Amino acid sequence: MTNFYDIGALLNRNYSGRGQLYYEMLYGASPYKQLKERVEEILAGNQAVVAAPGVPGAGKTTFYAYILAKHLKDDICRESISFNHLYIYIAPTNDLVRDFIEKFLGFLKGTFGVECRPEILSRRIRVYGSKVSAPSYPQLLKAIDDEVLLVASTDWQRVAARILTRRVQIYLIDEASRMTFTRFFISIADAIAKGNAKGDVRGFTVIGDENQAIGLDEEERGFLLLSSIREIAEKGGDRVYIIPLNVSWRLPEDTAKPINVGFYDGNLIGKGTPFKVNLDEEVLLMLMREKLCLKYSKYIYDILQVASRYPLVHIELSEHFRTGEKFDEKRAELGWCLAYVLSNLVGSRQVSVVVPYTQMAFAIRILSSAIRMPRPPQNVRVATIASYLGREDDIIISIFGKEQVSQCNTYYLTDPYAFNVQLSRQRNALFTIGSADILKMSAEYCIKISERKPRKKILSSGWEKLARTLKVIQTIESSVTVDRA
Amino acid sequence: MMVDGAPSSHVPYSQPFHAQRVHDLLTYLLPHITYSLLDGRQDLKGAVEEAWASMRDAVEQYGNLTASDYEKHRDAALGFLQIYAALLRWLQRYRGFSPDNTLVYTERMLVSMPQKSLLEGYTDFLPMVGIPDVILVNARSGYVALIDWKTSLEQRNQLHYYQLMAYRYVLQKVATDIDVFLAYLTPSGGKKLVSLTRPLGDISGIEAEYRDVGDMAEKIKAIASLLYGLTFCKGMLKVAVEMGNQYGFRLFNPRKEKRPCINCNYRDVCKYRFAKKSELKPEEVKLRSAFYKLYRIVLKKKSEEYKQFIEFEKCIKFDRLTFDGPTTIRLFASLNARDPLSSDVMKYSLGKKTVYVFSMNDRLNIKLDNGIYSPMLFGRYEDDEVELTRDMNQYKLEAKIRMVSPTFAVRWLPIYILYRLKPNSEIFNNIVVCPGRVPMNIELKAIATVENAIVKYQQVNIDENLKWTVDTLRKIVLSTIDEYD
Repeated sequence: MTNFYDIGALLNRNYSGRGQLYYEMLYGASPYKQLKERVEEILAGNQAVVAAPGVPGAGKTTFYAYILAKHLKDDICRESISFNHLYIYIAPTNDLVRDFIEKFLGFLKGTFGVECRPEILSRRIRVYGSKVSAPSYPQLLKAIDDEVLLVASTDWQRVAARILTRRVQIYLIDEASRMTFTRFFISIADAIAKGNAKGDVRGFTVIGDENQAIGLDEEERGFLLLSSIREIAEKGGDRVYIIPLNVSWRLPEDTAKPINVGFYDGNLIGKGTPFKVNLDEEVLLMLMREKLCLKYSKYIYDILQVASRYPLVHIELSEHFRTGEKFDEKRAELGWCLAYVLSNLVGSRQVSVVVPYTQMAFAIRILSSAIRMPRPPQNVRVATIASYLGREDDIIISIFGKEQVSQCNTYYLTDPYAFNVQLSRQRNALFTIGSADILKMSAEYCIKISERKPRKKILSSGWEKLARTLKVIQTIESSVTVDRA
Repeated sequence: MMVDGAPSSHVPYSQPFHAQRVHDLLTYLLPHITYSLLDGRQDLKGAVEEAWASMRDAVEQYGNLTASDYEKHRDAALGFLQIYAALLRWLQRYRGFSPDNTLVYTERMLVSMPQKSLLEGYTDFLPMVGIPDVILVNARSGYVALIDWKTSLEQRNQLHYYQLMAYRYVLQKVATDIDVFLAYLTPSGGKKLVSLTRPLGDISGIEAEYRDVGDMAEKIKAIASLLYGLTFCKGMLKVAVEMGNQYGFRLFNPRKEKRPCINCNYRDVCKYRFAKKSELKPEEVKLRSAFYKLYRIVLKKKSEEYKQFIEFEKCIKFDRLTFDGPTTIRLFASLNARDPLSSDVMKYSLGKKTVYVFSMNDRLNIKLDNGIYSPMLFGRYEDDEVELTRDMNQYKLEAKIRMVSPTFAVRWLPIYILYRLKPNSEIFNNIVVCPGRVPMNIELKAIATVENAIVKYQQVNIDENLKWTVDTLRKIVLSTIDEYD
């Protein structure tokens, strides 16, 4: 079986891609133009900090991969050389690190046509992460000597511990919503802004989204790198730049509507490609013979009817999530059946089911691996919202967690920004399953309570955003209701 | 309370860098060397070369040593291994050790929880996390030999004796016959084996002596409480002096330039720690007070966590463990579950968790609820990697656990090497995996290291860049501490 995290295998692959002209035009136009110019200054060794608050799907990884491939293309394959500068890409998950290396090599070999033997590349690149492996090129995982030019890692600590000799370090950070470990960089940004930075870190750039910062308490939010740099920039300093990115290359406009209204004040521009399901009734009939899915067949048929006309479908449940549990059997079965059917109707497109709780994700995944079926889905992934940060897929099925109020301490009410993450992963189509009615009532109830008993600002503002998002979901016409029976 | 690595414990902050490297190298070499020697191999040098060759790639990729570290420290390791070889010959002859019944554990964590009785409160208060360098177990008889490497001679080696007797005291709850040994290799090349539990009699090829330290077993409990108190409580000195009088050990004032303190590696830090306010610069007073506050906060937080260091009620069972590679283990379980979403299966949904791995066939873990336990491994379990398949009337479940950081390579790689050498050993069957927390010493150690670095570098001339780093650290501590008010 192929190991998804085998970085060595990526070195051996052939890449083809769009030409340089396409990307120069793309990144030469607003909103990337200014960002590209500033990042290029940092790569050239100038002391500066660039922070780019970006909407979901703003193309952070692709941008970083392109800009680094362009900057390093002339040096990375030269024999017997040692470098003064070290370029370091930091992202919070193994998937993002792997994705970055794949894109970087794609640009290097495909777009810039650099011919480079894998043996040389393995001496120039280091990749660190708990899941990363490289059996064919173990060099990729070793410590950082003078011959290394580029490092990609899931955290800064792994890199700092393995730099063998002093080098000028330039960081490209994908904050992907949460990386409290990068708080070390706040002091560096401060020093650069004041013009008295004397350390090895020459400059860095960070792209993130405060509206997708989840799993943090109030105090941790205070250490979000992006927010901190924004504060430093507000105090002045000609070496700190804030460049907002409001175009989402991932999200189709229609599917982004709820979060655009709810979380981005209508400023998000969705440029993703919408997808409508081609309803092949014969295949559907065959799929519905699966024993477990038989009881949901009527609803699944209705859902797919709507999905053949709209890229966003909301399945409104009249019943809230099972009280006292973090796993709801009926939702797990409905979600799994929908994923199973979709995966067989959408060709090579990938389907992901995104849920709030680990137990819920586990239940759907277990159904998937334990049940023998005529056409098992090959292209379905199941993940929690927290683990899906920074990831995307063609078709997303988002199953809601507890909608009912319980002293405003359920998952969505303690972390309202999680809902934004859950609804912004789709490249082509989005299915939402849950009770928008009950969840909206709960959010409004918490807002009301906070008027009498003030809560932390970030929380009450999150509830307002959540309620606004749900209001849009309630009113969309591409909705199917599944009643208690 | 930590015997190893606590801010005031026996490890000097100025421990030579190479000592740690030598320890790590021995950790990696030992499983291979042990079985080579037990098989009758005489050529120790050759055995060391062979052991290194067999693991070099794994160590360089996942561990913290390079090939040049090996070249540099091989002779020191060889010195220790000569002592070890002599002891192993003795164990073979007098304690029945053979290649088939010997288990070698290096860097094995020993945890002792406070034991509470309903009538008397704490009957035995010696909460401890200790990591002896080597534990050799005769799997047939249950005899345990505990060995610690020492690169320096302390004043009459009292601290070493206390440390080893603490380990023995803890181990006595799971094994009845335990001997403890100290292997000394001095910088001038002197080699000596010290036995603390019995005269060794006939041992060839090495200088050996017996030290009767029977009274230390009782004293160690008082010393543990003292270290704990001195680390975290300002007013502990007077109590310490009284306890010293009662138990027959002396305390010395580090501020008086007298022996033994003038020979102590701690002197600078100790003077700063126990100085009167008026003897310190205002900046140092602020720093000391900030660090005391930090210790108290961490201690309070960690004491709570320590009560639930491991969540035994959430443990899950597996039949067998195998290694996929040096940093990944695969676990197998057969389940008599009714359906895939039954509670027998759902309990394997732990999410993404730090877990401890125990073998119930391991002599050090006869049962887990007696307050003493020794995990085989500590790693990351992600339930999205769990696979469930139907096989006749049973479900077969597979899961994975991964090493989280290169810091833990010294624990993982020796077990991996042991697995390669003895894949059919019983210790790889009957596995229990329990969710838990990161050991408390990591955070405490990090804080202590920062404090020691700041204090140390204030007193010596350092280059501008290092000065900037230390200054930044100091500023972070002083500014962060205010936020905890």
